[in-house]
Amino acid sequence: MNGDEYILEMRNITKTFGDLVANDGVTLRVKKGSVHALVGENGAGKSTLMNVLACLYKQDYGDIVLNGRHVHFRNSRDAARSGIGMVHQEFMLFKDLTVLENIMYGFEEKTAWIFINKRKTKRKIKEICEKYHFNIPLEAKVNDLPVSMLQQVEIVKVLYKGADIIVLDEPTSVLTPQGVEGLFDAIRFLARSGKTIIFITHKLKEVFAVADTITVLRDGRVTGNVRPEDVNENELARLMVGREVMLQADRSARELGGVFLRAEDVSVRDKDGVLRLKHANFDIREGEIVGIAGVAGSGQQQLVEAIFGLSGVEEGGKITFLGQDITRAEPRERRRMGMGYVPQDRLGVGANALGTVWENSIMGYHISHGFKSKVFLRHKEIDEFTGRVVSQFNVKTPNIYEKLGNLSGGNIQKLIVGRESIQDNRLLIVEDPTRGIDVGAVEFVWAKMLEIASSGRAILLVSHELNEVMQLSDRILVVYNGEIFDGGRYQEKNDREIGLLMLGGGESDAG
Amino acid sequence: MFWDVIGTCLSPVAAAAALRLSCPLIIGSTGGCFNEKTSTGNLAYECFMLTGAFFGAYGSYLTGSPLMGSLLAIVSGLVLAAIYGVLVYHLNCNAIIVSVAYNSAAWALTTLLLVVVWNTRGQFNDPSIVSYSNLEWAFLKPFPALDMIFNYNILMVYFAFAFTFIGYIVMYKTPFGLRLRGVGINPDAAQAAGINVRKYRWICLIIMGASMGLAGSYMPLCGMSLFSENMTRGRGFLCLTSTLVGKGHPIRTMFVALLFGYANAMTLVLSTYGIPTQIIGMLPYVMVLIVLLSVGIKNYKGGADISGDTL
Repeated sequence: MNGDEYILEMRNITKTFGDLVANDGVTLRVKKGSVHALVGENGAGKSTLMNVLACLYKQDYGDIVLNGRHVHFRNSRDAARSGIGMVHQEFMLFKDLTVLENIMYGFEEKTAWIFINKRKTKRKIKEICEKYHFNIPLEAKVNDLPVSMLQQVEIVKVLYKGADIIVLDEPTSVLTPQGVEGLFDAIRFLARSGKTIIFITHKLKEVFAVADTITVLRDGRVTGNVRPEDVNENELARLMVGREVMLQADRSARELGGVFLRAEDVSVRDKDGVLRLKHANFDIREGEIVGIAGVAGSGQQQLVEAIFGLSGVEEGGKITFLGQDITRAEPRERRRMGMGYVPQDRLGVGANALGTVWENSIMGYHISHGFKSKVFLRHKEIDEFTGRVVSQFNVKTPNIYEKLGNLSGGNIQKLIVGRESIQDNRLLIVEDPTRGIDVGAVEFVWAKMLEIASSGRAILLVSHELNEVMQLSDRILVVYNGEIFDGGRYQEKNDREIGLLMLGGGESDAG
Repeated sequence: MFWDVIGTCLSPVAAAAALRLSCPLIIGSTGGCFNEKTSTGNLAYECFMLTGAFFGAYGSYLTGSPLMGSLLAIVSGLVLAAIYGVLVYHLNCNAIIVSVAYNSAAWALTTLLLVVVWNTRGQFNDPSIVSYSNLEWAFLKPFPALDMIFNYNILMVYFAFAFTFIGYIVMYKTPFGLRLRGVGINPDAAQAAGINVRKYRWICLIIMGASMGLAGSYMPLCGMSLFSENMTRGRGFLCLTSTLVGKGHPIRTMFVALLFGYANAMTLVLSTYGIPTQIIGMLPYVMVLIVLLSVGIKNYKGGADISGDTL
């Protein structure tokens, strides 16, 4: 067959976990020197397939053919030695070690058989960095570097291990638009230098920007092998989801009412005493979605914490909610007044993975909205409420007694958004509502948020996904280095202009 | 009186005592560093040490050779480590529960063995338990202070410092050390890099067990030639504390162990001044609290951290 043409063939890979069939006879053929996109919703089996390739899982059936030869890896080092390099979505780095140590980990150059040859290793890594145009500080601790830099470290790491095939698992989820461009340049350059890239994503725009060929997975099966010039976004989305999806948020004009929340001169220091939010002034009105865009760590977190009452506000600042001064109110008080919060860290802050679905759906409201009699929980009311969340927000769970941790990320997110919005809340603070969830669920959550805003409530949306902010927000605010800049009304500025604001604040606006 | 006490505390006698008393702590906690760096969760230091002390005495009693005593102590440490490893890594028992059980069982076990083997209670004192003999270095003789501190020690004291140094080299200069440190920081990443995490944890557990056993054998064989009930008296916990405060860095850990040894020496020195022994006996533990407190204050950043990223 075409054995010479393909650098990698995975034939009829089947992998099951108990009853779940993660990969069902998946065949993937990748050409040398190409950028091959592997797309599909979360849970479609993309990561499983790549983990089979990297020998983190063993397939039940199926063959892997590398450079025309059948291969059977014994472990992931074996796979790495054969030229397969994996950049995981969650970075596989050691935070207390230096960049150099991280890169050489497991593949150290040695002197006298037992000692690390630091000089030789360093030289080798420097050569790679020069050849592929990476610029990373080798002696710095990983902990001190920004995320985009860490991604470069990961890529250099696989190159150092001699990878010919580089698998990038959702690499853009942590990057700014400019960072994504940089990554794409690097990917194109690597491909031109003869490396083969397998690019896992569920973001369709990226597929068209960078891929040469596309394999679509759905429910563990291949639903299409296409070239980007032969399809458009909607067709690709249909292959992924199996039905038509809306990629544009469906917006209808809304009347804006009175001011719900007013922040005046709000400044916040972090626990090290550094001023992270500087003199923020803004209003949120009834029926409005205010979107906060910004590079991660620009002060969004402090902004949200100040409004929800998790951090103290500096002297002189004032927050008014529904006409009352809440600057010094406890989060519990704010919840009672009708403020809801969908945190970014779903499992860390938003929910309890070990708790059941019903426990999680009343969490935070067990006091304010009367789910309990004097002492005991009232199960009839709870069951009824949980049932409402589950049915209205389409949470897929076997029953409401299921452990939350067994649900997929998308379903957990739907549950949390549902919990916060079915309550009689006036203002919802929503952080990264669609992080790590699939297209189908994104569509659903977006639609729900617009619905919430139309029903006379307001939303403060904080997202690292610029597209999301631009699609949903009536008004965009950009945070840069703790200061807030006006990002215009809906569709007033394009993503390039907002990207510049995110990177340089007001100054870059002119240039 | 006050200046007398201070003078004694700073005298070569005190330093010499400190050196001898910190020896088992240094050996044990250097092994403990490996344990700490791979996050094995093993806290059963006291158990390994006390059992090592018994078998050190027993081995020497049987063979008449302190070296064989230490060897048997090491073997006892290895056996305990192996059982621990099977329980925690293969049968998924909770590490803390196993550690607590180990520590409580050790006292009972050694006391029982004392009765079974020697048919005695409290303390067994016999010339058949042969201690290590002191080494003499002629070149130290002209310097009285150095002579008093560094001369006439048993082999293990010198070995302790060599062991720390070797531990440091292994941990920071070899691929093995880099990998084991990585296993402790992020086991998932280590696995993704093709490291057999369980193997590294096993190796480090074995190192820890062996060195704690060896450290235990110091006590009956350092000249006293006896074994008594609960002979280690919390020294295992001092080893644990040293590794924790030293954050698993062998050299740093050694200095913490020296500090605890010094505090231990003070209890001996000060008791001659009629200060109540109960107060003096607290010294090493007060020192633990002071060290932990000062480390804690240095790292304190004020305020509760709501975002939870310190967890």
